[in-house]
Amino acid sequence: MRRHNIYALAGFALLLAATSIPAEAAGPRTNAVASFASHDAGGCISTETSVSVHKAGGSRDHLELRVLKVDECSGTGIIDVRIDQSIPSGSFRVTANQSSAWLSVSLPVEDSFSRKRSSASITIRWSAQEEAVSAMRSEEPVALGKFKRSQKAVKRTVRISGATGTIRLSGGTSVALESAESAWIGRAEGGS
Amino acid sequence: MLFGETNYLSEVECPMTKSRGPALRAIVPAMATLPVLLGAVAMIAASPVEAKTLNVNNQATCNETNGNPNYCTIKTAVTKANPGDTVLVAAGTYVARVLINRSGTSSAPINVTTNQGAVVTSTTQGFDLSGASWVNINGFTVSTTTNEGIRCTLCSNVNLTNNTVDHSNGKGILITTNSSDMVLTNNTIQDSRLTGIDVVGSQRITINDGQVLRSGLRISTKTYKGIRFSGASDSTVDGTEVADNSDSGIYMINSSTGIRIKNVRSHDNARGFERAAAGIESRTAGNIVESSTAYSNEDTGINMRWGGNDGLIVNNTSYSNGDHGIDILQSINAKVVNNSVYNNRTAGINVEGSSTGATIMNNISVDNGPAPLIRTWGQIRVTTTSVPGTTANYNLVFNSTTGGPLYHWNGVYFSKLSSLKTANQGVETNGLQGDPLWVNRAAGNFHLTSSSGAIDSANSDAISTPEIDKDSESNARCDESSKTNTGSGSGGAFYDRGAFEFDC
Repeated sequence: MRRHNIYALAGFALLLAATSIPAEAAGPRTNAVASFASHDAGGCISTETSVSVHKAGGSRDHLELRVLKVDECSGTGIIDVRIDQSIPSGSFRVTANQSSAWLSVSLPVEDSFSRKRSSASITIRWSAQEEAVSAMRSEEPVALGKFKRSQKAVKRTVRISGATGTIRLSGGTSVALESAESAWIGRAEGGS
Repeated sequence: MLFGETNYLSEVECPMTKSRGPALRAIVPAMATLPVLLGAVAMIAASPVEAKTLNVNNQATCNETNGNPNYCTIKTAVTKANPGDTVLVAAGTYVARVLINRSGTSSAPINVTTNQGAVVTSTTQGFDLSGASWVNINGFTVSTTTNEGIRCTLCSNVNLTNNTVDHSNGKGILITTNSSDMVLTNNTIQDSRLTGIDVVGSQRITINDGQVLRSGLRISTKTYKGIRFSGASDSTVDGTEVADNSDSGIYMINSSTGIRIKNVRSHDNARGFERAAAGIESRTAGNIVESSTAYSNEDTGINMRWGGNDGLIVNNTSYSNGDHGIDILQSINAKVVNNSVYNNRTAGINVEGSSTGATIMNNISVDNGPAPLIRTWGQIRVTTTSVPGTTANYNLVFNSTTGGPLYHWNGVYFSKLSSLKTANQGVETNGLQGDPLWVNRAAGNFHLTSSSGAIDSANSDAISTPEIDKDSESNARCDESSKTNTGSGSGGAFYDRGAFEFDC
């Protein structure tokens, strides 16, 4: 190959590279989601828990959680605890292949029914049950039920998982999180 | 290129690959020709690929070899499908999970269809769409699967049309893990062991028409909802019948928001062993129930409870339910407007548990809470903790039974609306007491007859959103010429109270 051909080829390659690499390629973001629902043996007391935790590159991890325990027969609220806040780094970990994830954190909470403040100690473990599914999308989830549109394509990967855990409230109340109704470990790459 | 089309581009043979050498030599003298070349490549890549039909039948003549006229399995045919192709399935029962992880494009979706009523059954899912986009599934019966009848994981732009999901041992249809932009039209989901349709962590899911029937079992811990939204957003149920499920007909939970329930008939949903199944229930903020009918449900017809804040309940009819017609419990800023509520077991429209800031306007509430008293009375009931910030006006209330009082406001019962107005300045200033003269309330016909006081007497500014400008049947509000307008509002003083505008 003649020299000027080589230079041209290199220039062409650089041009292609410049047009294909996003100017502000975002780092990978991981998240894990789980929801749990149960009734007591009598069927009246229902407990529903949803957890969504995000690890977004350099920013702090974020946890969104709700525990709603009610007596559906009498229409009486028992526990309604909500968390929507940043959590300390290291509280949420995900393995590189999204085979498992852990959340372990203690946070102050308020029960909106009783107005009592307490501390919630939350421990949840996700274990992948299925192979990863990937797709290119124009949006990525940023919280439960909330999505962010991206100017650039986002590679999203999810693994359907199982999840179990416990939420302990100071004062002795404990919510066992057994056999998640739905759970997954997710990852997003690219986008902006 | 649209997102989600990567499969297409990666699987279509690209002419540029074969001609790379000559093409490069051509641009060496002048890089200025590059845009022209790229444009040409784009045109070639975008040129239509001839769509083909991949026939499937599981008769003895079938053959799995690529190119033969009939594949034996849907799964194999799907793996051969490219954008624009149709997998056409003949009658028969196909026993295997159909995994679909390929994608079409916006202009050339992959169609998987049967016009002969093919049946799919499996020891896992029936159809399992995994990362798929621009795929249409049409006309199948998915029966007695061990897990979900149809599962969509990370899907987008998938349409499910005219399918029947029958006796799934799992959920009937599961849409999960950030799926989006899906349309389910005229599907029947019946006798699922778990939830009929479960939308989890997904957005812009539209469920049109069809039925969701008999989900779960009427046994403690085995009850399941008809349709459930969990961590979902910006989705719609329109025109669907949701009935005989073993828990609430439609249910919104876990931060689901922007869910619009419209033109739905939700009835006869019941656990059977305790009063807890509602027709439609939201336990999360920012959802709308519009122009729907909820009747004969075990618990309340339409519920916004325990965090169902900022909900809008407009143009609905709710009657003959086991608790309230409409219940707002521990949910703030509810708007309950232009509903017709009749013959529910307890207070017709109930606002309690610090559900402050409610707007209760233009409703008709009749014969709720008949004797003997159980739990609550009143056509409209607002408890003391919910009075702050709550507005009640332009409602029409009536009690033709020998049951309890007409109104319950701030802890006090009133048997006459005039007494309520006298005792509570600003409450029901324009309220009416009297028979709304519905066409046939016993038969569930809540249209107005010509002498009804509900005609041309509502407040068109009860809410600022356009839902109020049409009635439950999408008829525009109209001015009945024979009636004096006694309503108010910038939209006109002629809007009618209740869910149905008198035909003028």
